[in-house]
Formats: sequence, structure tokens, C-alpha cells
Amino acid sequence: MIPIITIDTLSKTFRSADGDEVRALDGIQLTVEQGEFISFIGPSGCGKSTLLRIIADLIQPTSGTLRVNGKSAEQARKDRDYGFVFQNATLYEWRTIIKNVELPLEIMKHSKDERRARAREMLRLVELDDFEDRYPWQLSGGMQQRVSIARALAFEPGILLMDEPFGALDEMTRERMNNELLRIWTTMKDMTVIFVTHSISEAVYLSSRVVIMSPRPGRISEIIDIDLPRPRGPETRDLDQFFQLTSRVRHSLRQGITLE
Amino acid sequence: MSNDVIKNDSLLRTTTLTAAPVAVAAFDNRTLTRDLLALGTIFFFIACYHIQNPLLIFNTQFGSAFRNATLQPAMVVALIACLIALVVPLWNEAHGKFSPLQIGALVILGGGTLFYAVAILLDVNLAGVVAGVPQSAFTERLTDESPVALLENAMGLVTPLVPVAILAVIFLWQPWRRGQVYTRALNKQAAALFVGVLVLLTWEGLINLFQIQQFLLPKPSVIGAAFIEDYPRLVSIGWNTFQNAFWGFVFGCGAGILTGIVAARFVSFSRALLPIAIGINAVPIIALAPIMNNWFGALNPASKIAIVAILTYFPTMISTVRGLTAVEPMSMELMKTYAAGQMTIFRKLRLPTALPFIFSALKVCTTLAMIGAIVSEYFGGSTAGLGFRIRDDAGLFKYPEAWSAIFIAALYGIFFYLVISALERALMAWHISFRETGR
Repeated sequence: MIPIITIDTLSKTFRSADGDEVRALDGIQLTVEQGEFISFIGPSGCGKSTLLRIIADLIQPTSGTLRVNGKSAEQARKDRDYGFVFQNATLYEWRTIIKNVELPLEIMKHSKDERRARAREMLRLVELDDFEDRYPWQLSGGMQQRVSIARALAFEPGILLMDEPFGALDEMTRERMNNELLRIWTTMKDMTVIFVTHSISEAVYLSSRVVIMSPRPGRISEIIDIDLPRPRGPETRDLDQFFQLTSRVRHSLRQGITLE
Repeated sequence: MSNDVIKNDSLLRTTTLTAAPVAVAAFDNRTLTRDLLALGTIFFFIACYHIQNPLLIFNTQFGSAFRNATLQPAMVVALIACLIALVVPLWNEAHGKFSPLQIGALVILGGGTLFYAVAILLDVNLAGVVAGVPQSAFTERLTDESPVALLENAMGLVTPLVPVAILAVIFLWQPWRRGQVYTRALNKQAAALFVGVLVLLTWEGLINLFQIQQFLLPKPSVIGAAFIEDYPRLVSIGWNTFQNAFWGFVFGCGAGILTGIVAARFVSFSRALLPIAIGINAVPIIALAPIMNNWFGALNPASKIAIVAILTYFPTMISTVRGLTAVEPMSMELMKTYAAGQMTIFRKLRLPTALPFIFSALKVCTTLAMIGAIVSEYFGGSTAGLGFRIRDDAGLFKYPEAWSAIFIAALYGIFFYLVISALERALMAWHISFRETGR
């Protein structure tokens, strides 16, 4: 196994406007291996999104070390080692769907033909190839989020960071998106996914490991291996093992909160 | 089946349902553009005829003003542009094949345009050459010694060209085939038209009823008659004022956008500059007009251009800074995950975000520019300017003339606004305000 992300005694303290210090993360210790699908789950305020943003170098840790692909997080960002999917689709409304998917390729100075071909391929992957000339507002929320996944994957990053990407979708759409995501992850060989969520069943269904976090200060309280058989599909959700794992995660989460 | 499929499905269904009205709306826009182009071509043909016909022009007192140095070429260029814009889509629709009648119409229009282009741009009136009239008769004021009879002959050769050209435009335009579109457009604008007509009728009626004196408020019919009588002169002096407004707008808004970009780039700069700019923007800048007259000279257009530039600078600058800094944090973070440089972020994110802000400022500035150009002439300026004419005519109790000058000012203002709106539509068709939902 090749470690992709190693985090050692990492902590983050925010300072509020009136000088109060808030410890968002404390003593985080984690190694993510290549090809893993790992979820961060926890109540709001546990720092799961903060941790993801630190890995993405969107914010900097207060102390501790972090290596992404054996480099500093900043270097990894500059080398475009990861794709990031935000809570909102964050599509640029002045660009058509295909031009949105082409955006990272434009910035990375790929040729025009290559951009177009690559974006088409990605849109086919998320099954939106009929919509390439539409504008974002003409698509439903779920479709927009699929476009943003296509955009994140367009430049073939080895790591996909997802910050509650399906949080705004209804339960049914979310389950369908979960299946799509698993299918895409299987297609992309050795892609590592870090997935932040507050849905227990989503975390269990998708992941190979679930990282459970507790708040104030944000800590990792438990890491649970999910040994559900793959490929997973709608029938996976009916397995006894699935129920056992979700209740294990639920208990662990509850403990984390009562610890307070 | 999960919900997303259903959602997709319903989206597809709604799009097919709305597809038809959207297509109709697009068709409306296209044909209405064609209508405007056809009417524009006719207008510019008549105007070019007037420019080249000294017998018509020099009858009016200020007629020579119509022989305006920049207006004449502008009219010819506008005529050519209208004609090309009108014919190209027809050519595409006909797949490159025109019927003999259409070719005939095109030859007439092309020939007529060429005639005026040569006559006005190169100062060679071919009809004058044929009739033996010296070319100076077309560019200088007529004197008693001028060969008026020869001139009448020459213009007699050209006069039939105008009605024939108008017929040719109408033939290519084919308005009778778009009755449905006009009915729909009429229905859409019915309320506005109704109110407009009602206001004019009430105006006319009330003045008749109460026997109001002409110098207080002339009747719309009297203003209309004065306008038609005097339109070459009005177009000409309106053009002078419009040019001041236009160049002031270009300098003011251009500087506003550029300094806005710089101010948005350096936060400390904008923090220092923006409150001052907002403060100055609250000052009635038009009050500076007499001072600008003092600086640049009342007769120098620079004094008017300066007023307009100052008037339009601040709103544009403020809106540009606001627009460039109105970027959503997440959109910005997305750029950061791509390790995009400042230049890329500016071009691909900040500028598109700022465009709606900039354009709403530009549209406001078209009106400000016209106000600035006209009002600054009240404090002294060229006699061939709208502001000067309005003040002068009103002072001489020539109220219908003053009102018709106000009317041409409105026309130029609307024209200016429409041009900027068209530019906006072309550059940001994606924007929410242009989404055609079919209803």
C-alpha cells in the first residue's frame, strides 16, 4: 500500500474577531492510502470540512505536519494533484456546461481539441453529454453537482476531495448520486477519494474506511473499517452487515458527543 | 427509479414544452431586428438624399449646419452597415441563391448606396457631373449666381432613386409576411402604446379645451410639425451634442473602468479611494460647467466633454470596483484549487462577475452623458448644439422649436441607450435578465 496523505499531530486554531481562540482541530493523526475511499463524518463543528480544506491547502494548519503525495500541501495544490468538489456545484453561470468542465483544462493550457474531447468524455461519464450546450441554470441541482464532479475529474487528478457534495440534495437523488460516484471511482483506477458527509448511511455505503470525528476540539474519535463486499449496489443497503455498520457508526458518533 | 431520473425527465419535458415559445421568442427578436434594420436603411437613404440636395437643405435658416463634418460620413457608414446587416441573413436564408427580382432590388440598393457613398465621402456628385453643375454647388451655400436650374436638373435625376430604393428595401424586408409577429409584438407592447397615445391625445385635447397659450405648452401636433419642418437641422445640431456626450462617455467610463480595475486589485487603494469617489459622486457635478467653460473655453467642445467625462467617471468606477470584488468565495477557492494565477482569475472569474455591474453603470451613464452634454451648453457653447438651441429658442418664444429640440435629444438618448444595451446583450447573453422563459 502506498500512503498518499499522511497527517501527523495536526491542529488548527481559529482566532475570532474579539480575540477568542477556537480550537477547530487537535492532534489529528491519519494516513490515507492510494485507492482508498475514506469518509469524514461527525456533527457540525467537529472540523471535518476544516480538515479537508487543510489537505487542499485552502487554509493552513496551526501546527503539525501534512504530506500529500510526499509533498507539502501547497506544492500538491500547485501541482494540481487533487480535484475538489464543493458543497454547491460552483459552476460559472456565464459558461455553458461543457465550457465549465473545460475550465481547469483551459487554466492548465491544454490544447483546444484536447479540452473539448476530454470534457465530452467526462460529461459522458456523468451521463450529461446531451446537455453540453446548456447553461447551469437550466439544470437541476443533482445534474449541476454531477457537472462539478466531471469538472473535478477532467484533469485526471489522483485525489478527489469532496466537501458534503450531496448535502443539498434530497434522499432519493443522493442515493442515485452515491451509485454514480461509486461507478466513477471504479472507472478511475487507483483514485483516492476523501469524502466529507454528515449522512451515516452515505458514509458506510461509499467508504472503505469511515473516520468519525467529535467536536470541541475537533478530534478523530474512531476509525471504522467498512468491509462490505464490492461492487456495491442498491441491494448492499439491505444487508444485515450494512445495518450493523451504520449502527456502529451511530453509536460511535453518539459517544463522541456525550464525551463533552 | 430514483428521483433524479424523474427530475431529469420532468426537466426534459419542461424544456420541450418551453422549446416552442423560446424558438418563437428568438424568431421575434431576429425579425424585429430585421424590421429595425429595414427602417434604418430607409431613414439613412432619405438622410443621405437630404445631405446631397442643396435645394432642400439651404432653405432652412441654419441649413448649412446639416453639412456637418462628421455627421455626413457617419450617415453613409450607417447606411452601408444597415444594408449589409439586412442582406446577409437574407443571403443565408436563401442559401446563396436570390431570385431575379431580389437581385434587381439589391442592384438598386447597392447602386444607390454607392452613389451617396461616392458623393458624400469623395465629394463627387455623379448627377452633378452629368448635368454640368460645379461640385461646389453641393458643398457650399447657394448664391444667386449659382446655376439653380442646372442644379434642379441634377437633383431631378437623383430624386426618383429614393422612392425606388425604399420600394426595394420593402421588397427585401417583406413585412407583410410577418403579420403574426407584429400582432404578438403589438400585444406585448399594447399597454405602453395605449398609455403613450392616451397621454398625447389628452395633452392635445386639454390644450384645446382650456385654450392654453402656446408659449406655456405647445400642442404635440405643433411640436411634431416643427420637428418635421426642421429635422435636418435638428439631426445635425443633435449630432454635435451627441458627439460631446459620446466622447465624454468614452473617456469618463473608460477611465472609470481602468481605475476601477486598479482599485479592485489593490485593496488599500480602493479603501482609500472608494469613500472619496462615493462622496464626489453625490456632488452635483453639472455645477462645474461654468468652470470648465473657463478652463477650456465655452466654444471648445473639450469643456462639454470634460463635464460628461467627470459625470460618468464616478458611477462607472464605483460599479467596476463593486463588481470585481463581488466574487463568491467558493468560486474563488475553486480557482485556488487550480493554482490559477492572478491574471487568469481576473479574466476568467472577476471580469465576467463584474460585467453586469459595469453594464448597469454604463446604461445609467448614457443618460448622464446626454444630460451633461445638453445642460453644459446652457452655460454657453457652440450655437450648433442642442442645449444652446433649446435655451435660445425658448428665449425667443419659439417654444415648438425648443420642444422639437428636446424631442431629438430624447431620440439621441434612446439611440445611445439601445446601442449600449445591444452590446450588453451580445457580451452577456448568459445573464439572468436575458433568460427567455417563453412567457
